[in-house]
Amino acid sequence: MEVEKSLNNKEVATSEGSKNIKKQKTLIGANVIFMILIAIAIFVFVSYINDRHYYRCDFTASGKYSLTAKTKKILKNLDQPVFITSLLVKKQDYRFYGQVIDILEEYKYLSDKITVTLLNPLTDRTKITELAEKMKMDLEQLQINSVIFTCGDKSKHVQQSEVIEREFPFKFKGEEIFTSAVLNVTRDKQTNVYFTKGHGERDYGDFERAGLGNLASAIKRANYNVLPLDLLKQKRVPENCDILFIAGPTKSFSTQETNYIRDYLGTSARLMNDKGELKNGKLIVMLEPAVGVNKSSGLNALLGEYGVVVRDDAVVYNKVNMPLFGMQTVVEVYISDEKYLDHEITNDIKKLTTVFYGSSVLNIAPMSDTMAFAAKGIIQAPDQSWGETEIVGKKRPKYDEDSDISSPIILAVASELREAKADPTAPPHATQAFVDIGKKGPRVVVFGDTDFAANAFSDNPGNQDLVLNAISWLARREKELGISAKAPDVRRAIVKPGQLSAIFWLSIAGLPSIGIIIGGFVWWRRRR
Amino acid sequence: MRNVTTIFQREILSYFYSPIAYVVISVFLIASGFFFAGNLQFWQEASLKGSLDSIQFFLLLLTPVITMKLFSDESKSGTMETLMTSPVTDFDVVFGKFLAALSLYTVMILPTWIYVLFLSIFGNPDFGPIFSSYIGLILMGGLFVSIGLLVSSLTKNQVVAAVIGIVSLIILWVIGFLSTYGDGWFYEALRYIGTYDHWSSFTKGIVDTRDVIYYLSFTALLLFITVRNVESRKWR
Repeated sequence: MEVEKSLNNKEVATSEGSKNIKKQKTLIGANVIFMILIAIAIFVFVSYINDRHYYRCDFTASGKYSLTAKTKKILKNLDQPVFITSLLVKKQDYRFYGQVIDILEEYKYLSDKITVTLLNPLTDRTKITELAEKMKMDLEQLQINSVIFTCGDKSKHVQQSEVIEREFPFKFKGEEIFTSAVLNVTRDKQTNVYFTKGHGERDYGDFERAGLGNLASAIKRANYNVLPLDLLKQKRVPENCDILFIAGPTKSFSTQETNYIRDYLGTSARLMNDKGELKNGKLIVMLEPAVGVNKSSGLNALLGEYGVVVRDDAVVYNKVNMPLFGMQTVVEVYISDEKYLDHEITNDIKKLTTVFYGSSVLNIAPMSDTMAFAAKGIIQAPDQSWGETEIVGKKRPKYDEDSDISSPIILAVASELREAKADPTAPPHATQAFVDIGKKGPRVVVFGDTDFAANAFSDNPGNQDLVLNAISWLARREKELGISAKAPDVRRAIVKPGQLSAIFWLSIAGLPSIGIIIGGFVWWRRRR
Repeated sequence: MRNVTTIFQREILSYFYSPIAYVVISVFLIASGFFFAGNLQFWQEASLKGSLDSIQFFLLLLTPVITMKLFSDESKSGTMETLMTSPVTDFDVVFGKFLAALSLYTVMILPTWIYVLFLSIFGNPDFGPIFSSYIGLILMGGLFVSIGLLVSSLTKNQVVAAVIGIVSLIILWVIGFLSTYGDGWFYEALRYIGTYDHWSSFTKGIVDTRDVIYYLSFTALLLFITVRNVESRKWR
């Protein structure tokens, strides 16, 4: 009985021991799982903090990814969130694509107010549609291959082509453009562009061939406000008008209206406003001679005061060798290379072709010491062009030495205050009083044509850029940051075919054979 | 630390006493040499960026081969019990093995410096991105080795360890690309976990603490899990 009892006790003890061991194992197992979960939680926490607070160090010799102190300061002082959305297509220009994305990463790094989203326009259609709805824009207006900067209800679109300098060796000017875009959308005041109406001007809301709808969209994308202006109704140019746009009037401006414009711009005789400040009006005029022979726009006298003489009774013809038809006289004028004269408006579009379609001839008025403004031609027609004075009733235009206007023919002019002369002995001119103000004051740009800016011609490479550059120049945005473009740091290896062959065999056979020989030797030794 | 050194010496010697290290190194050098010469011929650039991008894919395939035997072999040959009962901690064992595998990995990529020599002879390379690329390669190697080590501690079969290791690394490689298919914290997490984005900064010449800490913290987590897994053998 006692043996049986003892055996039973042992069984109970074994069973209890086994239970204890099992319990202990479960406890240890639970402990290990718990510790692993804690470790994962720590990893997640560290990752979370790490993703938000970080430090970047640029090891490249050229500082390819480093931003200038100017940009850093602007980003540091941001007080509103700026959303940057890239709609760039990677495959179209992979080298600059990478550089754009990397520099945007740097913007994000330097300010917690910046949010960068990369969208693929070819695959992220839903997100792009959402973005268009949010920005109250058509999908087409968003444009692929652009980077969109938004802040509140303001936005600025930067095209990929804008971030590359058009002159070889294609420097990258992303920082200047992007910082400028950040400034644009975060500024309290937006630049207002007023389009005059009531004189048969081209409509900026019209997307038909003759309208200026595409141009207006491009101006809006550059973060300008586009507004209409009826001068006779308003009886003045509004105070908040930064740029006054007159696009192809077919009826004459009245004397009253031109006086409103004069008052807004300032004249050589009266450059100061009532507060004693220098007037700061900006005017862009596009003329339309083809529709109004001998019908003046009423602006000739006004423009003359800014050094621009308008020959609106002439159309420029150009000889072109056309397939099948041989040498023909046509009204299209193709501008490229040296026909863009040196000016801030044209300097970066010299590699692009601009097409004018029936333009009037502009001249530069002779200077006098009492004139405060100096005009400068910015575009010239090709040498074989001439200004035809007998348009009506002439079937085949022909150059007439006596009556027609010969080359050089200027198609666009920019005018601004003359720079004060540094030489004190030089005769004084009207701007002598403004020695200290630098290049401030009114600016005027006149184009002899309007069609080149219309929807029908907006696909030509330089057409829209020319107008946008003119608007930037008027708004004094052309070089407001002065951040220089970065030269590409591509380091070439000059290797001759024979050398390349040697490198190839050394790399794939010479170097690995050392490992194979040592390995074989070790194996052979261990085998013995 | 003495125990770690002992384990490290034992493992590193076992690598170089067997032909496996030489085979792995040679295969790696043949592949990387091919990519280097190909890139040089195609781009004519005094830069390692293109070739390193291709080379690191080979590292995905070869690192698990380096680590496959570390624990699987011990389990299969029965030396694991001896090791577990010896006066070394589980951490010593795991860390010693990790250092040995990472050393072999470093020895494997070290000869690629001859490419830098070639570039210096025939061009004027920017040494900044080259230097940062090698920092990235070592950090990435630490992560790859720790994954291989964890997988090796989970199975007794070396081939299974290698295959699971390669598959795990490839998943980790491509997981970042999935982040482009959506928004929100989940996709953000995928982007963060994926190794490619973290590696590409180094090749450009940028050393970002996000990438450095990603590699270090992920490696530490995996080593910790490996230690716990090795420890669990005692009570399983």
